[in-house]
Amino acid sequence: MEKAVVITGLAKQYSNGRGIQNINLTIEQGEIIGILGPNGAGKTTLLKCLTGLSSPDRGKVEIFGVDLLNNYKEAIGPVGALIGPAAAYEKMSPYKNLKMISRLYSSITDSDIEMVLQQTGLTPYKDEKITSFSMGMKQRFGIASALISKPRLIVLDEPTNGLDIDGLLLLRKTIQQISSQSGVTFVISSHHLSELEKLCNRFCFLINGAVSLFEAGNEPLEDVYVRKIEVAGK
Amino acid sequence: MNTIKANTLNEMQKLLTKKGTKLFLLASVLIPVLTKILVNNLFLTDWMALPAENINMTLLDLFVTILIPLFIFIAATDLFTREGERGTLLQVRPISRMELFGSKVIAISILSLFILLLEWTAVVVSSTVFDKAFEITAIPSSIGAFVVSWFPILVLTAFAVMLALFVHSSVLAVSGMIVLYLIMLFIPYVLPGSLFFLPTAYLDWYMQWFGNVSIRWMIQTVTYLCSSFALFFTVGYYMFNRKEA
Repeated sequence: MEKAVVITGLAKQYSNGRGIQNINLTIEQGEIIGILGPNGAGKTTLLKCLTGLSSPDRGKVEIFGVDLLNNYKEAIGPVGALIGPAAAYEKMSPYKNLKMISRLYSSITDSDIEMVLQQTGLTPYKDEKITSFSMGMKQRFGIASALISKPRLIVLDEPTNGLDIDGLLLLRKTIQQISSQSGVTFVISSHHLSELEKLCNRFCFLINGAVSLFEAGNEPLEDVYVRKIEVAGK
Repeated sequence: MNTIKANTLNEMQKLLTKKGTKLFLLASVLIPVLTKILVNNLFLTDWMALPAENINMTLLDLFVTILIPLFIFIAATDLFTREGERGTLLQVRPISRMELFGSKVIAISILSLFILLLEWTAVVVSSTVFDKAFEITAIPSSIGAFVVSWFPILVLTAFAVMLALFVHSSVLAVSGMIVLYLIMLFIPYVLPGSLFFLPTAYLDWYMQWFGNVSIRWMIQTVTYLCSSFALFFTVGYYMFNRKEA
């Protein structure tokens, strides 16, 4: 099976001492991997380095065999991401925002935009300005902007933030549908353990800037998480 | 679509959505037309009347030294500092940092040229309608003056973009740029020798193209403008490339 992501010796240290150290991680195509860890463990730093939003101090990231640092444009082409708050031009509607994004890709059509709006439940609001959106609606837009380019790898950092139950169910259904139909790889970071448990087949536990990997098993994820926190002495 | 072209369109669309940009575009039509109507309706005696050419050049001066720099400061702050604040500056998209930076600079430059050309069109049309003394033969030299004045504006654009990347607050960025610009406009009155070392040095470049133009002067000024642009653009890109989300 093709490797979607190969991370080798990745390190990034901030001036406050936090960050990630010597991360090695391989993600197979079609996997849904959950990134877990307490606040400040380095989850967002890892995802930012994985998507080129941050430059690592050391290490290498390969996406579908292409080196991210040396060939950013080619490597990031098949990646869709939502990291941090949804990036949107709030004076424009979701449709116009997605139309702007579509200019940067050769294959996105107007019907793709309509489809992604429908997938995220934004069709009734597609012509409203994003300024008037609630936090959950903005988050839905962020998810739409990550899906629009029909990526082979989707990186979502806290995608459930601000979502209501309806939005949460819609997100879960969309991820499961895309994963089963197109074999898309997902890397999802979240504090909602129950949600990750329903979606992911493997987990990457991050603490003190280092990772440990484990498969989804019979034991509840919450129990595994608590045990790992206790072992790490947090 | 070519990535730079695509993102330039995106950046222009972002700027054109803003009320401020629409206001600048409206002003570039209304100010010349209203000035011409006003001058035409004033009861001036012959000795008080200004030649049409002088009014047109005064209008160009107003745009080149006040309105367009203001537009550039606001646009550079919006596309760089403000986007940094909102978290939209860097996104996971197949566009390199150089292409992203370059397309933002191109978008501001194209819109400043558009404002200039809109103003020129308003000047010519209102002159033809209201100004009996206006001669069609003056059109080529006036379009020349408007186009030439765009080149020092490009230097000011690169300068503003560089400054916008040094600060993290959009309020500080735009107010700092205005204060710095005013200082640069007034410094030459105190220190005349400093004039040719400032990014504002050739904002009245179009004036100097009238009359006898020596090859040496042309090479000197073009070299100064090109090297200033290259310097500000390079420092700006260096700052931009170091940015992290």
